[in-house]
Amino acid sequence: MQIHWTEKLVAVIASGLLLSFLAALIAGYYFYDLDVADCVTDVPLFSKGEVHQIFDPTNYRSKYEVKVVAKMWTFDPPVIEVVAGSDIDFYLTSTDVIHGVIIQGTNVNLMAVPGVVNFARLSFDQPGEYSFLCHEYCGSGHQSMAGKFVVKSNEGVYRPGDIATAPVAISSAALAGRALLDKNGCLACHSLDGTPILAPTFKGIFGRTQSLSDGSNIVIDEAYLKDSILHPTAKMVKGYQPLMPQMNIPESDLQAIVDYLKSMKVGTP
Amino acid sequence: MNFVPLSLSKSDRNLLLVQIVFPVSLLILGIYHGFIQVLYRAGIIQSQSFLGLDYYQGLTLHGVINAIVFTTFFAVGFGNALILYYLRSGLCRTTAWVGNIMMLVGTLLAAAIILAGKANILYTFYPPLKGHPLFYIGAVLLVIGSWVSFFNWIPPYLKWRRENPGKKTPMAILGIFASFIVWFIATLPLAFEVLVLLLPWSLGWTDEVNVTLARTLFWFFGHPLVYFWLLPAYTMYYAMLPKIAGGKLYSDFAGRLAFMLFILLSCPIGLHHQYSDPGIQSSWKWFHGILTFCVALPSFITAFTLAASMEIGARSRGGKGLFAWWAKLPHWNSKGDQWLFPYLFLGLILFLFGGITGIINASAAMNGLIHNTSWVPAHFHTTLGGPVFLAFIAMSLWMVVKILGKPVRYPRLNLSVPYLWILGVVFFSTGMSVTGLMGEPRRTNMGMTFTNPESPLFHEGWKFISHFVVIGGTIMFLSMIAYFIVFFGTLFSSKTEDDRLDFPNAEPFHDENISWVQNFKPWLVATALVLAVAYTIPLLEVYKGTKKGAPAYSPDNPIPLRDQK
Repeated sequence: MQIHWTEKLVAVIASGLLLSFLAALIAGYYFYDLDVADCVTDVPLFSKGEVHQIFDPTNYRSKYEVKVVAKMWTFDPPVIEVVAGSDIDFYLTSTDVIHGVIIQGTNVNLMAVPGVVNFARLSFDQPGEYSFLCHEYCGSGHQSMAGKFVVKSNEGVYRPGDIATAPVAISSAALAGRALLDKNGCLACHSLDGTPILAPTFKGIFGRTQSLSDGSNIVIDEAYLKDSILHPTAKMVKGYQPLMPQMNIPESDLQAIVDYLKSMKVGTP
Repeated sequence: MNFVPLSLSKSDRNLLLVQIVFPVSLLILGIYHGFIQVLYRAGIIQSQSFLGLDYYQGLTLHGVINAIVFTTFFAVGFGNALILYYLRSGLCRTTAWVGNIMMLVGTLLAAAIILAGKANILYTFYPPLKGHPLFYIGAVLLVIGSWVSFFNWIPPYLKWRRENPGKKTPMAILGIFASFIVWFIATLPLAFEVLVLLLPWSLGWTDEVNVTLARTLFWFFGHPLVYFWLLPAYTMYYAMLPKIAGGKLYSDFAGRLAFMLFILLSCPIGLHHQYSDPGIQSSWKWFHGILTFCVALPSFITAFTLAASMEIGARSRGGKGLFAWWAKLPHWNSKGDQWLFPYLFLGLILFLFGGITGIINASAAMNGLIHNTSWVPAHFHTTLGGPVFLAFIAMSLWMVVKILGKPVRYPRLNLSVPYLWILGVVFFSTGMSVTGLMGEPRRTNMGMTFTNPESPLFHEGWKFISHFVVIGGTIMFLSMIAYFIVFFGTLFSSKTEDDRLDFPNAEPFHDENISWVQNFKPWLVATALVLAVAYTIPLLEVYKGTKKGAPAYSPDNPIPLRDQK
């Protein structure tokens, strides 16, 4: 008894088809540099986002080294400014759970896994805004986790340091409050520089007039701040989701945080 | 081979009934959230929860019930029935019930924990998001219960082989064994992940977990899982569908070869789910990718063999011409057992799309475009949600009809189920594929941000196309309402026929006798070797390459659980 010739023919045709698909993949690898994420061994783990612009004076072009930290439920830094046409070395890690990133306008698609660094090289030809978002479920705020590349025109000459942001000056008295913000994870959702993330920014928060979700307006004072830290969903600022967990913070720590937030008045550098 | 209908003992009948009716009943919950989910994704529901069920809680239920509980229960029940029917030697009653009760208890535990909101971590349960320990214990009980049921089939199989020297094992037995061999191999790394890494960590006995290692072990399980879903459907396609179509199986050898190739190639390919992962060398990802292309071969062979088998059936019904014979197949015929045909046939049509999109997913160059986008659920609703789901719900109804002697209630409504389903899936998957190519993420409560015009993250294109997804989801939901009416209507009707277990038995057209596809042993040895090559180095790498473990997190707080007061 024999295998019928039609079955043999089908096996040959199917194998040929699969081999041709494979050949296309290998051609993509050699001619278009289409590869999958690799194992990065030479970059130590990092826990802060950074953007370094490296200027090459010979061709007036910039190269960027971007380190992005994904964390519940934001990217650090959330906004990355680069110049069109530059090569961007994009390093990604997570400091809490698994996240992912897909960057609009590119084929970059990476997982952010705690304890490991991921890498892709990318560039944008056209100026504009390119958003990126988290594509792996990372908890109840997952659907709000996004950031963007702002790609500027490459006309003219750029100097190194264009992108660096000036550090915020902090008095020593408020340092304790600042440390508490880090410790309690507040800065995951409340930015210090005015960038809207998932919650109202801390920039200029003290003395600000704020609309609440019940339609009323209030001027933010010490009592409101303390109250909102202890009972986050009681008086919600309009336009935000009730995502903030209830905080159990002792009175002394509470005072330090409020002192720091007071120093974030409008006009404070 | 001729098989007469089999009269079941009371214990065996009750066992099968529990294993069919329990998962179909749970499916009501899983299907409900499938429908609600398309409303969230289209921005029709714009909140964190709806009717007391959080979006991600419902998503966890949808995945766990539809993809894990329903499939595992069905496969075990179907396997028990096949062993009883084809081997005719009875099952050890105690072992069968021990397995069954473990599965029931495990499922109820996990379901209770999910409903209590203590495990909103989806069916992939990636650490360091942590679920309640009972969630993991429930999963372990379900899996071990299925092992116990599987081991219970081995003595009757060996006895049959001894008593029937030189005879070929019935195709359906080969198929269900292939399915459970794949399941057993695949659940070993899963058991390691859950018992060694996750359970002690969720109980607080260990502080940190190696996330990449857990992920790699999960996908070592996760890809063969899809073949565990697919192979019982293939068993119906090879052993039963040609008979229902009125013909013969075109090639007996093709079926046996396909099942053996699935045993060999289902497992060493999990890294193609991790193309975007850090910590694993790209060369190993390519190796798994190439093997993934190889596992497409038995499906290509199957497509041809089944089409040829149906052509034999159609021509014996008077079909003529090059393609016109298709019209002679029993596409809409409620006489006798022919209602089974459209369920199986339309599943195959969906699988054409499922297979092609699967090859796209496995292609390294294209994966970056679609990984973790809504393209992926679009794909697996044409595989798991296509041939597998249609075959499983059809065979659940079939077994209830046969072992209770109650003919299908509402036969026309029953025929409409697979047609409505395929129509719904086509709308759903087309919409999800298009938005997936536009970068829309999967597993995301879109209505709160991306499809909410008041959010700064609003995306107009996704919002527009999600209407197709809502139309598809609604049709799928209606199809399932029709199915539940038919299924429970039949279950609670009165007995009018003989209550005997029976299956359609397809005769082979080409009955080859080729020994190397008739014995599991050489294939099992080869499988062990390929697995050792494919996974030893990647597992060592992720074990050593992870520089820092991760503490546990709950899904609603960015602070690790150990640092919360």
